[in-house]
Amino acid sequence: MEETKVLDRVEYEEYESIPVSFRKFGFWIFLSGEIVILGGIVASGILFRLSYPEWFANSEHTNFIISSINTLVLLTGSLTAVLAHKYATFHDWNKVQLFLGLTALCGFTFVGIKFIEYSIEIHHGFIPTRNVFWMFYFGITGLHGLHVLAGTLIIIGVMIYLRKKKVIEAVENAGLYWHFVDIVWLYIFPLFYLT
Amino acid sequence: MSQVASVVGHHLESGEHEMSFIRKYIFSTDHKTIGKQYLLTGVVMAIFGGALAIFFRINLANPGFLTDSQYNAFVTYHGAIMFFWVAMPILLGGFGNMLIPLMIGARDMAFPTLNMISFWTFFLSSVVLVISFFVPGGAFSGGWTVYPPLSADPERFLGANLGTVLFLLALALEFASMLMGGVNFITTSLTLRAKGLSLMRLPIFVWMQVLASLLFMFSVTPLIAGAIMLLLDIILGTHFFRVEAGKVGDPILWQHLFWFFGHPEVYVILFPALGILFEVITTFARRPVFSYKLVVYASIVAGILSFLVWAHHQFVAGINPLSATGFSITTVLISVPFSMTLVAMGLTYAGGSIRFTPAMLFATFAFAMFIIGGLTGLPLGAVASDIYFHDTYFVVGHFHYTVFTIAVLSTIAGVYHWFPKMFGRRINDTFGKIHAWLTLIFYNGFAFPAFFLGMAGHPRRYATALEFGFLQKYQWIHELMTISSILLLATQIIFLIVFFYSIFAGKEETEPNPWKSTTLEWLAPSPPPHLNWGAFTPVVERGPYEYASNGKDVDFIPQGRLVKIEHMQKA
Amino acid sequence: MLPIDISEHGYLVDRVIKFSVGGGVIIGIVSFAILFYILWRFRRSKNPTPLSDVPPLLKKVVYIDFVMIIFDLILLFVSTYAWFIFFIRPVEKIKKEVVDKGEKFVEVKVIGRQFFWTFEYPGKDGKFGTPDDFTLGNVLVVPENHYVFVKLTAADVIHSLFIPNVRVKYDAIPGKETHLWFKPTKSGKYEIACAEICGEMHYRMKAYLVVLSEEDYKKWIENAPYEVSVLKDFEEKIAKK
Repeated sequence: MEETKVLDRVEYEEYESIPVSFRKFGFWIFLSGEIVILGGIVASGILFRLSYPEWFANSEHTNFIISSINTLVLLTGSLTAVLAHKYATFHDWNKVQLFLGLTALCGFTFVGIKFIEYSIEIHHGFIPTRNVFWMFYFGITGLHGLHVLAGTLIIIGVMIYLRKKKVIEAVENAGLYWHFVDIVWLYIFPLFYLT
Repeated sequence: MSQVASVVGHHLESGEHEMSFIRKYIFSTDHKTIGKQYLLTGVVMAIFGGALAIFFRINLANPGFLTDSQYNAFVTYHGAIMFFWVAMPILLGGFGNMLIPLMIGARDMAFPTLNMISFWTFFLSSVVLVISFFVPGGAFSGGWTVYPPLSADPERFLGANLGTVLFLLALALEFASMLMGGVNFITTSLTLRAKGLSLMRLPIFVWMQVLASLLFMFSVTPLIAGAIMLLLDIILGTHFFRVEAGKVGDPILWQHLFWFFGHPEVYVILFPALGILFEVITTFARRPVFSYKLVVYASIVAGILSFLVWAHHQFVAGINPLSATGFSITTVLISVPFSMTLVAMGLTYAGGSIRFTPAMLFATFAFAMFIIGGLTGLPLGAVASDIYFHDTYFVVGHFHYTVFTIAVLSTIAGVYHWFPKMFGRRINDTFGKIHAWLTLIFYNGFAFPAFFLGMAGHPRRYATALEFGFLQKYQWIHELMTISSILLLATQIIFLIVFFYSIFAGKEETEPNPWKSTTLEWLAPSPPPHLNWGAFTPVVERGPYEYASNGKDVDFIPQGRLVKIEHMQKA
Repeated sequence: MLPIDISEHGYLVDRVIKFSVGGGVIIGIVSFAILFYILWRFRRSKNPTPLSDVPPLLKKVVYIDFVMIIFDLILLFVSTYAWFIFFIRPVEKIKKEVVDKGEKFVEVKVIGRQFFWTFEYPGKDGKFGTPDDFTLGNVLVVPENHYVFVKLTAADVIHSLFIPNVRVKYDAIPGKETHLWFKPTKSGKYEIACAEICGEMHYRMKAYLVVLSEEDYKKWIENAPYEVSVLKDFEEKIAKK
């Protein structure tokens, strides 16, 4: 399968454009919307934490160990995503598939561990309707978990796409999404687990 | 970009290959087909939403026609459908998709597959919405603004649990679809322009679509968060918005989240409509936009300001009175950039040679009606008069003079204008002119009296006026409004018949530029083929509105020209 | 078109209404006149060749923007003043001013419900939480020329207390206490409507504002809510008018 070179200027046709490739630009537009959504929810969580003293009594019951493992899982996924991109720039597409696959594995691991974590908490009677803290906890971590799942599915989608077309930017964008989900987690982790 | 070029190369070398019917018309990635799909779905939803309005207007003229909860459900769905399933898909999904690539000289959108997905997501959202109307338990009936606690406990208050959940899901799908579309519009407009088409040479239409997409993207996201919280309240019984003894919920939070989106949302639909109006008016007045830069900058300022006015919907809803004052100031002042844009629009006519084709009639009516809409916003934005006018028919009058003008009059102007380009045929001119005048008369017949009802203090969302002594004497106004609205819908149904007839059997228009317009889309054949430009590429050499610039035998100079690809240098 | 205003301060709201609506009408008529002129003067039959520039006289139309700005500023000024009087001043401060001026006031607690209003009165002693408190459904009885301070909330969903004849409106929100006030100056029976969609019978949540003369009110409050003859007589008196 021949490669398709990703060019900023097209053979045969010239484009008037801002100095960014359209794939990257489009992805950042999408990402900025996501930042506002998740940022908004996390910001409301932070505001609530600042005004509700009961927060701390409840946050003792979140599981620091499980979430630390999950943090490592996410960070590992970020590493493998970066490696995937590196090998993409070297056009070593087999290694790309390998590292994307590892990233997806991290994704599924994260979601699986989260599932177990929720089961434990619900078993102990900590349900979303219990009080403000648990409302936000399940709401925010749940939403984040769904984004990890979506990111994993995107990675798999890119892996399938890459079998036909070798587009470096697709790998880069998939990695970008993963990093975004990672960064959001770095705000969530202290908010719910480090108290 | 290379993706597109390699497809082009492939086509140029091996000739067009036949696509299956499904790939060409159903699961198409061609922006023009997707645009038509959005337009068609929007029109179908408009008939549904319009019919709902007729039914509840009949109830107002003839109380007892509907049950109380039917009335509220019809009002709710009419509002939601008109905003989300008619105005947005037609103005953004329809016109945006059809015209942006053509106007900037591109072959398609930057992400054609994403574009296709965005349409089918929208289609799914329409299906879910219609289903939600008919499910057992009833449709959601708490107003299109979905205020909790009424909406957060639908089983208890409205008996409509499933309907409410499906309504919210349909809304979420619609938002997702428009977000996907927005990514395409912004990226395409900024990265795929023809050579020579700098940003300040863009047609106003394209500027407006980009601004609208940006506004939507940054305003809808908090509401998505709010909708998730509302769904959690309904399904799981959380207390984000629900109020129960000893629990935390804040119904006002929803109002803030909703209106933080709701206000930019009206500009999301206004800007594309203004874009259409500028294109039509410049073409048929044969003059450039009066101060292009003013319009662009004023619109950007208005767009930014639109994020600072939202609580004018909540002046008497429990917010701090001092912040209400602040919002009143921003709201009244936002009329300034808009009045600048409107003066520029009016002065675009001045000095011209105005030809009143149906498109121009609709555009001019839209412009005039929008002036009324804008001016009637001031009694609402001024906080003290809003004490009286809040939630009365004065608001109904105001938003019908703005939203209806945007969603219907401007849209129809655009349809008449670009119909030859999109379908290679004409809609009969005489019919168009009659259509325009009848629409104007019947529309004012139902919308203008609303202001009188508002002055009388008639509250909104009342199934009938007859319960209150201070309203009973205005029942005749309700009857007048109902008759006008029925006649208005009848006129539009006739138009739709003529529209569809003209697509298949209208007079053929082989001339690619029948209106002698300057922008790039008129260089393409009518209708443009897949990938738009064939073996040519457009090159832009001047601004978008070179009309009346030199007074020679031609009174316009097209913005660009087509250059055969062999003559272009490889980059 | 506006319903009769029987309050002492309603004129503040009416002033803003008349200025904004009247001003809008004038600006609208002027704008339409200019637009009609332009459309007529530059129609194709009268002007077959478009001019290369807008005539200088018409360029002056941009001054409409300045007119708008000035109109907006005056409107904001008048409106903010009225709003200040009604809602920015804290209720306690208004009560103190009323007492200092030697005027009198009554207090009422209003609860919006699906689909009726309840009005809680402090009774003859004027204090809430005492045995002579009582509650009436759908009728707000107040004395003429007294300030009326309303504490407003809702029991289930959001409602909105709207009394057109005294130009007040404010939302009744469950879990929150909002307030409004007015001073009726003319006795009579006036309608109270709900101004926030609250369910099926939103359009028939009617209550009445009954403004009694001071003597009638004294007679009524003496034995309220058991004493009905005062209200009955009052109704008959109004019906005869």
